[in-house]
Amino acid sequence: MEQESQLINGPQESLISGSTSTPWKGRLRSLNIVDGSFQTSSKNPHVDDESSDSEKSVSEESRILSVTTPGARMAKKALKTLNNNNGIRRSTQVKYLVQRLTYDGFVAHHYAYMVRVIQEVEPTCFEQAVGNLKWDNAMDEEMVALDANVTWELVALPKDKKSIGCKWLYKIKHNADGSMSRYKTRLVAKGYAQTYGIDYEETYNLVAKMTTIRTIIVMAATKGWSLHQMDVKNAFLHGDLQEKMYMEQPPGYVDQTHLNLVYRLKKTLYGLKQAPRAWSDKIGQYFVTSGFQTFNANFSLYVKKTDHGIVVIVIYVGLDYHRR
Amino acid sequence: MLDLIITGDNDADIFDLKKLLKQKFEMKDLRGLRYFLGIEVI
Repeated sequence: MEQESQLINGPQESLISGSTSTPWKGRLRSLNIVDGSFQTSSKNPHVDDESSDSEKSVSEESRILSVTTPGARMAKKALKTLNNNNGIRRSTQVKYLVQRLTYDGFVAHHYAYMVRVIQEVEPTCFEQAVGNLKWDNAMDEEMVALDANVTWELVALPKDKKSIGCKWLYKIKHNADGSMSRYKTRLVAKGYAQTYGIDYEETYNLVAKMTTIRTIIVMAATKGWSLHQMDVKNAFLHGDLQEKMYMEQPPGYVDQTHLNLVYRLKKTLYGLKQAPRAWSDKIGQYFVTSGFQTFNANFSLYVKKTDHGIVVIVIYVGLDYHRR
Repeated sequence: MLDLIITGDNDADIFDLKKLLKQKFEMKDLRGLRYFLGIEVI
């Protein structure tokens, strides 16, 4: 039983506030409350209709206020943190899944299983993720990283230019043993909206040939050299952008005082057509300046001869949107 | 996504290079080569 409850609740954090012997009880109670708020929301069917953002958040908040249960308090707290999250304002309306769903029909045992399953769902769009503190924090982190990287600057869109959109991707990263590692979000540009000759020119990227990789591995094996492997965190974000590109402000992170401004991209972003190329250009240049030799027949191979011996590098740049 | 294989006959050189790459590009050292593009190194 103990082991089972471990399985159900997962190693990351417990959903249960109270006893450990009946793991679903705490959840059941909170879902009953949720059911209550579900009824409240059904009394007020116009809550989700299209109206201005400010109106919506007021009605949302007052509705939650009217139900004074622990679940509702949590929801209110979540909403509050949403509205003043370190200066970044979110404008999109909050929709809680729990307002539309009830799990009352389940046997307690299956119920706990369901909780485990729905807890692991990866949102497919911003509207699904917003309101969930874990995803909110992950998105904040990504925005902070992008800002720190000087990826962009806020500018007015020139009249003859078009801006491309962007969207959030969400992924739950697991450790090798299946336990949850972290909540990861990534902001990707909608690269398919790019126009050839304006937003991008060269996208051809040099990929390591399989024969090169095999040859290097065989060579290392016969000579008894050690093989090392490295990979790069946020690889594409290091690439410098040659073209002038404009992107809309990301969902949920629109600067309320500068609604009409767009981001001019300075560095490449995931999703841009030229991102892999910009990145391999950059690292290639770095290797050349630090004394490595390149080859016309094999762009992914870099060799440096030193006084002590020889160093060989093979690079492989590929597309990677969460490796779906 | 960028993967890198480094090899050579001088481990000190490789070590220096890896250190530089870590500083410059926030690279992660995956130590010995185990898997690369579907190839498993035994």
